[in-house]
Amino acid sequence: MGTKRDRVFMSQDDRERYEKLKQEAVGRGRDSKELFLLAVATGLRNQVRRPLETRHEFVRTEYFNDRDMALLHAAAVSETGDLNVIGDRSAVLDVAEEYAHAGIRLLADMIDGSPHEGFEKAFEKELYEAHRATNGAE
Amino acid sequence: MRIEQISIANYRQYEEVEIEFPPGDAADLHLLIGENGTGKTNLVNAITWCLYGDEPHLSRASSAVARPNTGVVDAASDGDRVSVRVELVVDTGRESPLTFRREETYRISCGEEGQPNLNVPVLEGTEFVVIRREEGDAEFLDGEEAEAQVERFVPKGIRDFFLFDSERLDQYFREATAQSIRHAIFELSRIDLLERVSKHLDTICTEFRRKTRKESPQLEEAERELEEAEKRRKEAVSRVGTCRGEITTARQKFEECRKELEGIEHASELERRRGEVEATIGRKRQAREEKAQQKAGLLLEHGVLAGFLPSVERLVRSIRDKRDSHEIPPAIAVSALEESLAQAICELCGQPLSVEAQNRVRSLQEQMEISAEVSLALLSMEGYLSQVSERAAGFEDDMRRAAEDLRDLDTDLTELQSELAEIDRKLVGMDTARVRELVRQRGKFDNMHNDAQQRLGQFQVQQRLADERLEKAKEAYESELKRTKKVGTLRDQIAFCQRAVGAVDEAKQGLMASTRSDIQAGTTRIFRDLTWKQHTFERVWIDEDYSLGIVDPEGRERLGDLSAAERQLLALSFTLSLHEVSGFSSPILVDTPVARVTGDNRKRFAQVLGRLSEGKQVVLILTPDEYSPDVRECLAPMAATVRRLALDEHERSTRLVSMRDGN
Repeated sequence: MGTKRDRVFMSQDDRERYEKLKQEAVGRGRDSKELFLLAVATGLRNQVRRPLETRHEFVRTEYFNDRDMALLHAAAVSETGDLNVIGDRSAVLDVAEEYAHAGIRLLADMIDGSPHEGFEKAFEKELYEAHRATNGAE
Repeated sequence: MRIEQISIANYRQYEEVEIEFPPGDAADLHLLIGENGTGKTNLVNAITWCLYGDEPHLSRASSAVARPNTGVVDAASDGDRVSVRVELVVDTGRESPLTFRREETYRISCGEEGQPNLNVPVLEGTEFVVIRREEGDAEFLDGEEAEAQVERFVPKGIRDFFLFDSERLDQYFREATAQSIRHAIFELSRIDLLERVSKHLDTICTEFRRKTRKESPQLEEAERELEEAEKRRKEAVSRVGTCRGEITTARQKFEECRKELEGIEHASELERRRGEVEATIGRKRQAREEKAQQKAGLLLEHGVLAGFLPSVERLVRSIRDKRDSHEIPPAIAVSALEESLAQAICELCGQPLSVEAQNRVRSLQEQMEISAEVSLALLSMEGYLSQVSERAAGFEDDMRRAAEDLRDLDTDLTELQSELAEIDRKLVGMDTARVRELVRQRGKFDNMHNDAQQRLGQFQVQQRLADERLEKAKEAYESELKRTKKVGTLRDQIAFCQRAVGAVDEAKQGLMASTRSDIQAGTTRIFRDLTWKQHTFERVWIDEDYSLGIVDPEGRERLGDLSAAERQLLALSFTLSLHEVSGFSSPILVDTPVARVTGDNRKRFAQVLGRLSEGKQVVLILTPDEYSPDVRECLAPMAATVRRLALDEHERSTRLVSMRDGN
């Protein structure tokens, strides 16, 4: 298998965005891994990925369980079109990091853009739309 | 009788003041209006000091200050003398006016040089005289003769019914015990004279009895036993009386608490329910918080699933496709192919591989795109990934259930808040601390009542035993007296004394009962005449235990239901009834008469006092707040004089300012 990377990285300016997310009900009391996965998912849902401008240590990979890794593998396979990417941990994490970098920006923008409605309501609305879009497409 | 003039010199705030009270045409009403601190209450104190030598209405601050006016004291030099004097000129209606004069002389002792504020007045002497002027001559009465004149004017024992303030009126029937009413009736009936006669006869009787001791040892023993038994019985009666008083007081106070609590709609029950509702609100709020957190958790979970879902579904399809095409799991271990090629020997059969065979192995290798590790990984994650779709599909149901749960909790909270608001609305205006205090006091008085009832039982047993002992002792003594011939004269004397004491006691009881009955009737008549609720109250009663009550036409006891104004009116009616029965036509002086009465009742009470002044002299000392437009409208037209008490520019001396006389 590929190089055994022991952590994922984030860009320096994402620290503040994750802190902002932690102030919201959705992020309150959640660990960094959970927030990272949410950021990845948000990037994926919006099909936006962004290379890291700087690399700062974020989450140790030992905190990802098999289910977490299954999701990250799915994202990496979808992105590369190559099942064998599963064997390259570093490649899988690179994909996740870039989706997270884009995703956390989107989440932070949603927090700033929902002073009245509130982030939770806005996020819920977006999920409803995504869910209906998925079911409608089916 | 009426006060014609009060002259005050150097008494407290009053440096030099003369107040005249000329009678009015229709009413003998006099109004004095003053702010707090201008000497209203000290005017009452001046009168009581003049007549009785004491100042019962002195504030705590004033009691720490010597009597002489501080301005005069501070201005004096060392060794100067300052005279404090109050004079009352009273029209007795029969003879020439009487002048009651009390004077104290002080010598001023100065402080150290440069400290004039430390001048100390040192009392040197006091004098009380009553001056009777007839045909140009002045007769000076002092000592007991002077005191007798005071007793004819306003007896000390009942002065509280002539010189009083609204607080006393308000408190009288809160704190009234049978003892205080009995005391007033006792004083009024002048039974003190009969008491003295009775006591004197008793003393004589005891002396005669003691003389019999020396006649025989048996007589001595019997007499000593009789004396001891009488003493014990007296103590037992006193204990029973005191205990009864405690029971009455505790019962009255318990009823007051109970009525006040009842009157605020089961406040304690409301308080209890309020506590329950608050606790439930707390629990519901916590549950809502937990539910909200659960919902946030669901959002996070579905947020993740929604993002990964397309990737996951594609991967699951790929895995299925690869399985269907038998690419995973691989039929042949890729490592075996790799090893076979490397060694050019078949890993399976161990035979060397020809070139053709090697080409076939290479071709197989190329077909196997997925490594064994990856294949294993894909198969291991297939199970979980297959569930992701199903879990993600439950998003709307999860959100709907969470929203419903939150809505239910919000509805519960809204209902509970409404109930709390309704309870608070009922409690608003009630002093809930007062409610708690009332509940506490009610319990306390209930305990006191029960405790006193228990003790009463014991004391009554003790009294019965004391009675029996006394009877036995009397019989034994009588028997010894009869047997002892030598004491014939003494026996007759003792018998006479005993009959006399009995007659006096009977007269005393009869007089007390008659006075009680007269006062009861008078209080009822005056109260019904003065009250503004003509059909609410039927009569006032004072029973043999001297407990006072008031009943409605249905015979129900209503003392605890009286408002503050009605309570004061009842106290005033009782006071006026005492005046009538006592025969004393002395004036009434009331300090802040309507301070404890509010709203329309203030005017009503002022009207009552105004009507009173049509028959006797009434002096009212009011604050500007009490002398409101309503009260002024009622009293000013009938007042003979209206004056204002004001402090001078140095605020050390009170002066009198005449407002429009009669207006």
